[in-house]
Order: sequence, then C-alpha cells, then structure tokens
Amino acid sequence: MIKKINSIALLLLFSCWSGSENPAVQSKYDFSGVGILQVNKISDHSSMLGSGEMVLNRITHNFLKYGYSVNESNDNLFEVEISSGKLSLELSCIITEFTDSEMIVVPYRHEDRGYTKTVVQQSSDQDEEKEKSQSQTSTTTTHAGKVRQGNRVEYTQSKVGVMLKMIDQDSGDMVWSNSYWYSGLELQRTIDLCIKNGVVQIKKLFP
Amino acid sequence: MKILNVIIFIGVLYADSSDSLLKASAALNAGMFEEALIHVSEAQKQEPTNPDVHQLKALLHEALDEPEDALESWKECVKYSKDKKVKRQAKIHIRSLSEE
Repeated sequence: MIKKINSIALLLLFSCWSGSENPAVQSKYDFSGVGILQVNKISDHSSMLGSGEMVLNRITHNFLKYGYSVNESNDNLFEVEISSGKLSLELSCIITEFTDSEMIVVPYRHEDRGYTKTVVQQSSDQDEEKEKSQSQTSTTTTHAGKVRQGNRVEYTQSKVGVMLKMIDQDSGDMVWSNSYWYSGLELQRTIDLCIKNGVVQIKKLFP
Repeated sequence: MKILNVIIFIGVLYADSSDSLLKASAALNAGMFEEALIHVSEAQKQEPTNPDVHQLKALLHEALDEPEDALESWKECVKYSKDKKVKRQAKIHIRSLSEE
C-alpha cells in the first residue's frame, strides 16, 4: 500500500515537473477578492549565498513593472497591492536550481564531403577551307573528403529553476502552484526571465 | 580565369565552419555577444541543420534582447535536435518568448 502511494506521489511529482508550463489552480477560489499578496522570504539555494535575495528582488521588481504597488511591511516582508479585496495570499518560492555558469561543451564532428571538379576545354577550327571541326576534352578530378573529430566548442550557461505556490492566509489552503525553469548566457537576465514567466501567470489570475 | 573562379567558389562553398564556431566560442567567453553572433551566423550558413549552432544563436539573440530572432532560432533548434533535454529547453524558451 505504501509502495503504491509512493509511486503515485512520484508520478505526480514527475508530472508536475515535466508539465511546468501549466499551473495547478484551485478553481473554486475567488481571486477577484484578493487585496494583498504577501511575498515570503526566500531561502538561498545551497549552491549560492544571496540567491534568495536576488530572486525576491526580481519578484518585487516584476510586480512593480506590471503596475502594482509594492510595500515593505514592519516585519521586512514585501506586500503587493492587488486590489481593495479582503482576501490575502502568501507567495512562497523555493529555488530548485541556481547555476551561475555551467560549462556547455559542444563536440563537433566536421565532415568534409570532398568534391569533384570537372574542367572542360573546348576549341574550334574555323578555317574556311577545311571542314568546320570542333574538339572537346574534359578532365575530372575527385578530391576525397575527411572527417575531423575531437575538437569542441565551450561556453557557459546560467540556469535558474523555481517552484512558486500561493496559500490563502486565512484558510491555509493552497490555491495556486507552478514551477519554472530558464536558461541563458547571463545569470541576471536568466533570473529575470524565469521570475517574469511566473509573475505573468500570477497576474492573469487577478482581473 | 574561369578555372580560378571555379576554384575560389569551391573554396568558399566548403569553408571550414568549425573555425567560425571556435571564433564564436572565444568571443562569447569574452562577453562579446555581437561578435559571437556574427561567427555563429557564419557557422549556421555552413551547417544549417546543426541544432547546437541554432541553440547558441538563440541564446545570443536573447542576450542581445532580440526576441523575434531568438524565437526563430529556437524553432530551428527544435526542428533539428534529437536531444530531449535540448528540445525541452527550446520549448520553454519558445513559450516564454511567444508570450512577450
């Protein structure tokens, strides 16, 4: 029985990760009544100190960019003003991946297919006394190709992954959840785009 | 003269694209994204079906804030790549860029 539950949980977890583009939403929840969205503190990823602060900054930055008022409360938590509604939500974020520079190695196998060159030489004798005659010779040269292997192209890539969830402060019900992942050549831009994807989807919940 | 032209044409046709990729890699690691993009575009002309070239080109377009060009390159990457991880990465980028 426990094995069955575990396998179902694993299946659910996998489906959540692989289907990260589709958020889980509690359909009965009235998002139009939400007044405040409180953004909880974010723990650093084990691979980088300060990553939590970076992600938090990008969340508040994106809400501000989309026209919402963002305030810092007395307990140093950020609150996003959604509307004049009475409901309050808590937004939590877990950083699942935070890679500053991962080396990407692209081994290449360059194939020179070779070529065939044909030179055609044509000459004509236009002597009126003699019968008009033409001669044509052609030379065909084939150059064999070669395959070069073992070289590689290297560059670094940043990767950021987050799991976001929203909980109703009064009932404790989880009302929305999704995970995001993004990659890029620069860390700052990668964080921004990863978080932006999340904020864009959250924004769609509120009329 | 004609023979010389033929030889030059063949030389251009079979130019070594790996040189372009190596130059792109060097420029990229130096943070010179515009320079890198020029070399990657050269490599792409020689190897139009190489998904790694399209992936790198797409990332460069994104870094240079050229979302439409990045979208095109990601689509080409999905078209030619057989690597599931790369395909997934490309699809995430396509979705994100399409929403912009």
